[in-house]
Amino acid sequence: MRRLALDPMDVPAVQAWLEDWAARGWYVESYGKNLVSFARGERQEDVRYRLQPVGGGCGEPDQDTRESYREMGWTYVCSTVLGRSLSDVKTEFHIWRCEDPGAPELDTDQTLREEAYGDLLRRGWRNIWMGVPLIAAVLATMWWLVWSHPREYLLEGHPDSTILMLCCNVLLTLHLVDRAVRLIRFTRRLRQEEPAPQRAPWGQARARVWAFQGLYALILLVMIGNLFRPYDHRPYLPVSQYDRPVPCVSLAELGTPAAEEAEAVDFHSFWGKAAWWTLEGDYEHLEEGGDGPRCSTEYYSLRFPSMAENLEAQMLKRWSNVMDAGERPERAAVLGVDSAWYWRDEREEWQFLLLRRGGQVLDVSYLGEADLLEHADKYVEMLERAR
Amino acid sequence: MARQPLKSLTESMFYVLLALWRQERCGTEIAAYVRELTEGRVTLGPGTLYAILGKFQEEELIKETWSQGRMRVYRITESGRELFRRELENMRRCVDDGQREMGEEETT
Repeated sequence: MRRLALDPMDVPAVQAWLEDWAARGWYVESYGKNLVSFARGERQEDVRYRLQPVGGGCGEPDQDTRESYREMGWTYVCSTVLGRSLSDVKTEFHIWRCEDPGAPELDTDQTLREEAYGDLLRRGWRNIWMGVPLIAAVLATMWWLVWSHPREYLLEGHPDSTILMLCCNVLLTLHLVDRAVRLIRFTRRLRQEEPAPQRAPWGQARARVWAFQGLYALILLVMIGNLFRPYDHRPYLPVSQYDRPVPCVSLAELGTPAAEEAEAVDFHSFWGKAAWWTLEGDYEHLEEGGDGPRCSTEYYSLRFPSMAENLEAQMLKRWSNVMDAGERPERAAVLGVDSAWYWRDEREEWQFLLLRRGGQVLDVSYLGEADLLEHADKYVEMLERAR
Repeated sequence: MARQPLKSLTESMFYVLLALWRQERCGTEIAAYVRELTEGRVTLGPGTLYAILGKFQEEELIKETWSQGRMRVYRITESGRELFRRELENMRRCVDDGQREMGEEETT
């Protein structure tokens, strides 16, 4: 019993593979969807195997046909199984064997051979075209999700999940292209009446199948592994502990210094070149209503600047969650940015500032005596430095 | 989709009809006759031969006259003869055209 590692549509490779086994003294007995069984026999170098497409798609050749073929040197071996239903077995090819080097080829008429393969080739192309909308749908869904909720994807717990999805799509596309190329080559071979290759070329076909199966298995394993991997909660660390500048404006720069150093955390994702959250001030006593100044900043630098407007819209929507009905953020005139929004919560005395410049988005929430808008130029400078 | 009736013959089909022109034959006799007639230039593999015989029976170009066990003997029908004549006529015209053109080229 051998595991079948060849695409059944790769007819010359399957024939050559069976011929190679016969040369080693193993003769195919049955040919399932995934397993092929062999029986021991004498080694024969000149054995030919040919796959004949099954016209109706079902059953095996009748006894008379087998005998007629036998008279001309060809013995029926078995049929390849495509699938099973309650009433019958759906077969794809009949496998014939010839041990007489002088016997004619099984199919000697190019036009009839093309006709016989017509259904199979049409099915092959249909399967390829069915894969195209599937890939397009996955890509479109992925793009729409990221486009409508960019913040979530910038803060992904598993930064490789997007890359994994892209890899999966690229692999599927490559697989379809590979199948299409082989179908075109096979059709050309049928038309040009090239003789069937003897024994050699199946190694390359098997390597290709193994490569695809291996890559699919790898992606599946990583996906399963991701399910069991804990969400990547990174701790806030004092800004001074980072070996690179953290994009933020300190409370001291706003003229309302805090007792403790600002803390920051960074996020890594496919979609963001940089993503930082920064906290400074008396956040530990937020619930008890501590009265010290506080500032929290979210900074994002997007890999695709066209997504920045969507992120800006998403951040504004988040603001509306803490606004009373009828309240709206106002556009602010800040030099050096593409757009600026400002809102002051008169009851709580919180101020919110949202700046967008190219692919950078900065969201600041501040509680303190300073006027954020008066210090907007400091944030613009910060954006320039972080670019 | 309805099957398209045969409009022209492939080389193998032509020789199968020719093999049955004078006498009834079984499959292996047809293959042997064609090989001998064409001095091995045209061979009929079993896949091709039995596909042609099946197709010709469907189109009523040949008929099975009798069978004994697995051996089946076929004869050509009137529509088979008609199709063969038409095909031969087409081929003759092709040959004439070719020879005429080649003849003109050789004289110039």
